[in-house]
Amino acid sequence: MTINLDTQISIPETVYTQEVGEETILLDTQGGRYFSLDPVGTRMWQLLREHGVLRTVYETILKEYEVTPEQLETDLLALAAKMIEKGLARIQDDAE
Amino acid sequence: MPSRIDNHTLSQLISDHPRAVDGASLSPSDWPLLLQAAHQEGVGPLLYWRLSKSGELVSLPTEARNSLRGMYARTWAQNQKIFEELSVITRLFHEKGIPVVVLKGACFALTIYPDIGLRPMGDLDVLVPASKLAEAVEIAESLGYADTIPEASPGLHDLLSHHACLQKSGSGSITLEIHNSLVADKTFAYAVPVDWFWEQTEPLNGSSKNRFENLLVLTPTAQLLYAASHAMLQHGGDKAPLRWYYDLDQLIRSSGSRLDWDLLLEQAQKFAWSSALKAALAQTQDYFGTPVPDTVRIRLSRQTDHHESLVKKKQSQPGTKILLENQTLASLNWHGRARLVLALLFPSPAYMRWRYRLKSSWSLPVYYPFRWWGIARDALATVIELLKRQSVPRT
Repeated sequence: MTINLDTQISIPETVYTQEVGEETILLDTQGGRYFSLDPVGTRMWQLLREHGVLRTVYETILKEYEVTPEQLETDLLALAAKMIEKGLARIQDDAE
Repeated sequence: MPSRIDNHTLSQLISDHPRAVDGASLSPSDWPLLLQAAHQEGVGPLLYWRLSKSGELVSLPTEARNSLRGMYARTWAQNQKIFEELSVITRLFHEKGIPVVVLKGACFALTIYPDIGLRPMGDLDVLVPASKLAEAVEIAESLGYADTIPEASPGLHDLLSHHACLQKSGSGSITLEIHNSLVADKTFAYAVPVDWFWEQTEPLNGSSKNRFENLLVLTPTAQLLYAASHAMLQHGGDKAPLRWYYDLDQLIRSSGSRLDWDLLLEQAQKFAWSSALKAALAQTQDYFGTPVPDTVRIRLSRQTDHHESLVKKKQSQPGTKILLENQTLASLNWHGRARLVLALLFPSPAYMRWRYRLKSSWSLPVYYPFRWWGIARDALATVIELLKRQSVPRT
């Protein structure tokens, strides 16, 4: 399934977040996978967990950081795709 | 740049006080050795955490950074699993009226480390009253834990071991050790009654309190005496990984006035564990510059006991298996020694099948002589080792 800014994302309960110094580690206790995020990625993740909608994350980050809309959209969608691929996030069906 | 990677290099890197060595002073070729040592000594996650906090992580070679991050993530995930088990065990034991004290790594991870992913642990150790051990084992078995290592000789485990060792299989299997005494059982010369330790228990406090209702921990004073003696008498200084000394350092630093030094010295004297405590504190101070009061060090230097030579002997790594077993034999009473020697020479068929991974019993008659051949070769190596030692002039 392709994702875009209107895709809704949910975080499985088995995924934990640990902030360690300058980076954040996401850990999936179910699958034993982990992923590290830099400070901007950490902020994206926080917003994603809070709102679940990529567009809200996009709009907030656009206000907070000096970044072009195109670059942000590319980075955000790439991050979301990687999270989904690693089982650290999943696409929420409308029916749910 | 350090001339070689050793525990002192590692201790400098994981210390939270001013350091003589930092990440930037290491060359890219130092990192593979350092990572290997950090993994062996159980301080990889701590090294990751410390370098990340200080902002040095970004300057590390990518492979080193990934490797350290992996050590932290795996430890965190495994510990999370262990604590889920501890939570269930504590609740079930409490329902049956069994008080439970969490020991060693799990206790330290909950009480003195700022993050549960920083303290790797091989197993989950808990203490229960001796009278409740059988019931506690039964509950653990109902949770899927099983005794997986066959006894080398029937009854040997009860004689030599002070805990039931159970394992839960599955992904990231967990080993549960349910202790009924601490450091050693009565067959060992340095065994002590466990009553004092029960008097020195208190409820777990701090941020983990809500997660583990009814869980007990040892007071900092008892914790220090137990951890020091466990390292020096049960395992031996040279076999104690760096993380155990870091535990002691952090325990002392974080306990402050809650650590009763007078009681510690008095109890160490009563247990004849002063030499173990002295050796453990000296090594901890050497690695981490731990703040042990001068008065304590002076008083401790005057205390002595009959285990001094055993502590010294156990501080060096024996060159052969026989010398290693000899260290254990030296700690046992005569009955224990005889039973252990017999078990080493003539272990049970069940143990032989487990030890040599034999699928059937028909090959046992071959494997007993194979075992004795191995022992004979080790005996020859031991003789050579002893002769070499004699030929080295003593300074």
